[in-house]
Amino acid sequence: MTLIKLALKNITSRPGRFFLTSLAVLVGVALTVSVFVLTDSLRDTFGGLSDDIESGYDVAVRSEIPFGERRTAAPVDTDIPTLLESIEGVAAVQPRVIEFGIVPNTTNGEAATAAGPNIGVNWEDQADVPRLFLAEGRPATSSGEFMLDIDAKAEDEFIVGTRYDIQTPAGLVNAELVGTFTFADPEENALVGAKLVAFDTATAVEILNGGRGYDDITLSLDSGADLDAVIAAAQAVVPSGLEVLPREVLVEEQADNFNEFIDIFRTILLVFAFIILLVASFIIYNVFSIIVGQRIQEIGLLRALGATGKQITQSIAAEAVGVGIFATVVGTALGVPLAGLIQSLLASADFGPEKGGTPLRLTTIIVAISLGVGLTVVAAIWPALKARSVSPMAALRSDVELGNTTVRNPMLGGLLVFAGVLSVVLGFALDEWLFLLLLSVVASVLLYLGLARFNQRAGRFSMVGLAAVLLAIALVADLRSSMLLALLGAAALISFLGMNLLSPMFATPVARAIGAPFALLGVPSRMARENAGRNPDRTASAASALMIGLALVTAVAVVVSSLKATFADVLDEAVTADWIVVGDDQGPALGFSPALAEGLAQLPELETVLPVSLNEDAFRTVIDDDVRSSYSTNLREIERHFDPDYIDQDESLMNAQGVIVHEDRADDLDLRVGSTITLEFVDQVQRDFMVAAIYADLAIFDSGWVLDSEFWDANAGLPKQTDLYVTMLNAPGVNEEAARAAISEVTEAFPQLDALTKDEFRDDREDSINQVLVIVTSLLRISVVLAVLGIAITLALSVFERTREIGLTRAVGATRKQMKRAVRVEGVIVAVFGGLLGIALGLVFGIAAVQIIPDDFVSKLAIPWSTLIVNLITAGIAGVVAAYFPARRASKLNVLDAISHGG
Amino acid sequence: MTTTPPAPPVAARAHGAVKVYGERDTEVRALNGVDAAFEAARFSTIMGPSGSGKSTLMHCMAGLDDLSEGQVFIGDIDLTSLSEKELTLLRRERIGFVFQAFNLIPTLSALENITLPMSLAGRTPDQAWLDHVVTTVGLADRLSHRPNELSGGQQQRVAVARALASRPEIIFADEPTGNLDSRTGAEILQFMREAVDELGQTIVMVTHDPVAAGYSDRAIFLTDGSITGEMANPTSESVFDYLKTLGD
Repeated sequence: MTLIKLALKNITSRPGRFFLTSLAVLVGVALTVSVFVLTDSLRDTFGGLSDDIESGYDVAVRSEIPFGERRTAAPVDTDIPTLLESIEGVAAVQPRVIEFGIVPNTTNGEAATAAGPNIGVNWEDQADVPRLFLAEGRPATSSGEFMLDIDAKAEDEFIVGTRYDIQTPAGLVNAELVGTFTFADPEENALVGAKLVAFDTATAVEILNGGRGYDDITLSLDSGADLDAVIAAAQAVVPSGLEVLPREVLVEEQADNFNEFIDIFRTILLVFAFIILLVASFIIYNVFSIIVGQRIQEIGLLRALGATGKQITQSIAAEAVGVGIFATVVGTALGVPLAGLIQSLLASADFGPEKGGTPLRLTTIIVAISLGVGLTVVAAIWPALKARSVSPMAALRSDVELGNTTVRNPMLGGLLVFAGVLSVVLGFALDEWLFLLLLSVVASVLLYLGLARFNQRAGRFSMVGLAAVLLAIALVADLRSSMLLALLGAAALISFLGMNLLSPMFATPVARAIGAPFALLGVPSRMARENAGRNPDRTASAASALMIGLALVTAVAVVVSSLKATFADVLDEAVTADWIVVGDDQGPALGFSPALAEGLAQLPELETVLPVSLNEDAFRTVIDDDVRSSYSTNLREIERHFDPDYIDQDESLMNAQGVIVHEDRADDLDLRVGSTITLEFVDQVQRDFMVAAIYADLAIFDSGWVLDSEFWDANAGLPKQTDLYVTMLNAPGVNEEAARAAISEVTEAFPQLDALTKDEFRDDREDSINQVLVIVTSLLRISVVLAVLGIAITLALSVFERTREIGLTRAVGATRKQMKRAVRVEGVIVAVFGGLLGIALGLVFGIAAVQIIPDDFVSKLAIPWSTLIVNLITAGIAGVVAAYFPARRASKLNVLDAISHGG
Repeated sequence: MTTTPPAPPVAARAHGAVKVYGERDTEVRALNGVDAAFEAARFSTIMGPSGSGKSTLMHCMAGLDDLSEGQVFIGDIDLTSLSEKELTLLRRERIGFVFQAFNLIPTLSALENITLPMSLAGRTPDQAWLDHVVTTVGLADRLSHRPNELSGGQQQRVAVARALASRPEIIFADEPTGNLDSRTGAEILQFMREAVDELGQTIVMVTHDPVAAGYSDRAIFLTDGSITGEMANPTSESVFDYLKTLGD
């Protein structure tokens, strides 16, 4: 107990240091908590939205969904409702139609796009309990009329009684706005970022679903009716291929759909929070190592007076727990309002609800505690264990340094190495990326502990060695992408730990080399250089946090610049078309109306127009029962617009029964040009296709299957598709300007779309890649800032430790300014050391990532040297910044006090 | 050298104690087969010039450092047979320490420093005894002060009080007055003298100062790791004279 009290006193006696030590963990916890709170809030909101979307009925009838999801399911025939009306207990039968990408154009020719999806529905006039509530005007009743939700109307200043163009799969529809409505709640529109257009049911079937039927049919029951009986009765009257489900099932499906997106969002944000926590744990490790070093005499005295090694360890662990609890409590307290802040930022960008709550759930608190306290203790446990080996004799001498005390023990070492190897093997055997990642990290620790018992040097190399092996496996092995990325992540994580062991071996010469130019500046800088070199362990671990931050920034920069280079290459090599029109590539509103391509095809200025659409989960290959997505386009035209790199082809097979396959899939399924393959579609009908070509290029169709658009046109029972992009070739003798003028006449009807030349398209994509890069890099820079804080703490501690020495130097005539410069130069040396290591590691992992990421994303390596140099210079400046306060402290020391400083 | 006193019980002894530092060429024999015994309830001094091995002998006898050969005993317990953990517990339960410098934990108050060994053992101090010790040491009004708020002499008195407070079988003091001016040093020595006389405490002190040795009941002399002499009831003059003969 006393030692716990001692731990608390150590904390309270230096509140500033305690706070700075906690700060990095605190930021990490705050971010993690805010991510949890934010996503819980989004879940609540979208959970509520799911309930709203599926409101106003009790039972739904729809096509069975053999694979894929509801959006791609087959439609329901329009004669089904009459079968259901006579069922006992059914109060109302309401067919529903829903389609994404339905965008009204404003009078000034702009598209009224939503932050969320633009959705078209039918006005549900049969419903017993309405889902759409009339707000003004009247319901649409004929094909020349439509309605808008009140917020969509207000935002783009639509006027009731005016005619507007609406983009639909059937092309531009001109209709009069006859009324507005609210969604799910008569008082308040419950839409979250979406915009809703409504037509009367018959018109909706015609223009939204191409006349193919309803998406589903909902039933409301009489009060007191038996739900199960109605479901059974309905199932009995509808033809096979339709299913009857209670409302709850659809609500849950809807919520699952949303949650999938929210989970991805959460995972991405958590990655950044964990990176910050990783950096934080390195800072904790570093600070505690130094603290233990500084207290050796004190620990020796405690040992002499009868404190057991265990008590010493507990006391230091208690101090870590104190840091962890403080970071957790304050981090959690800050994380909740931070979530609110992010929420209002997102809301101001029209994403998500404005007034979502900030729910602090038990899970969040548990995660915060286990990360905040857990990580701090784990990071401090090594120094704490080392402290236990301090001899009581340390109390009697002032010159003891904490040595490396691993005892040679080949027997135990062998066991540990064996366990480590076993752990990696198990990681591979379990075939699950998370296990592979965790077990590899465990293995690295076991290997280190084991090898260090044979030989100190072997121990130091163990982790970096394992990281290299894992990286090599990732580069050569043929594993799933998730496993490869787990290997890459494990290798990165282990190399960060391993560098901490290894870099002290070369910290001294490297620090001297970095310091060489400074040494010319005079004695103080020479002293700084010697100081940075004389405690390689400390220089190395002070630099390690910055190393991690810069390694990640560098790796991301390498991957992104390779992504850009790949994209530019692909565009040059694989696209031969003159023009491309691409829709919004985010959200469920993929694609745009085929009417655009039809309009373009009429232009004499263009020789050919090729629309390409994507049907997700379109069919399954019967032979291996795999569900596959399909592109569809005019097969014969492909080669004029793209270079798909055909290995073999037969033009005569490029028709409605033809399919084009990537070479890997062809190998998998043993297909050749002319082979027949059976595909089963969502209408559960099997159809035979013949392989018309086998292609090798990954850029245009990933490695997807390509069917002819004629096939889709001929099969009304299959879900309709919108176009993903359209490419065009100029007619002979037509120049760019003339073509552009003609094209823009057509695209005018779709104001959110633009025809771009190849160069324009590349610039456009690079801009959006750059935007993502800016966001990712700024998030990573938080970890870099914290790493700089880590260096500042280390410098402050070493200034404190060298108080006497600084006093002496001052006493023999060094000026304050010289003292300041000495500390500053030391900061620069440490930071540049970390920067060099980080950039080197980042290059290794960035290059490895480019090799590992599938070629259809990144196939060409490009290293952004200028960015790397800027990063290194930034590291140097960061060193000066980190040294600011420690340098001031060193220069302000009172000479006499400093000399008599205990020691 | 004269008399052997009537044999009182022995609190600590060493048998053929050898301590070697370093290996081969750099080998230093700090203790070269020392046999010594320290009686209970007496104030003994280990004397010798620097490098004579006197501190090493004390460290080994107190279980702070281990011997290369030979044995040391506290009471009947052979320290060389104990594990690290048992040694720690032995120090905690049976031995008190006063060092030359850095005796106190800077973040703990004087009182907390005094009761530290008992707190480490999870024992509650005997309040009456504690009061007695604190009063005797003259620290009653300084108990809540931190070490850096106390003078050097006061800090040493806290260290002595700490050694006494847990009523150890034996207190080892390593140059306890080495960092003090002579007046303050005299106070501390007088105080240790009283602890032996009035409280029956056993104290073994290492010093190179004849004046300090003058407060003790018996002094042994170490030179180059071997015992070269012994003196009962030493005075500063007799010790000084003896040391002079060694120099010749």
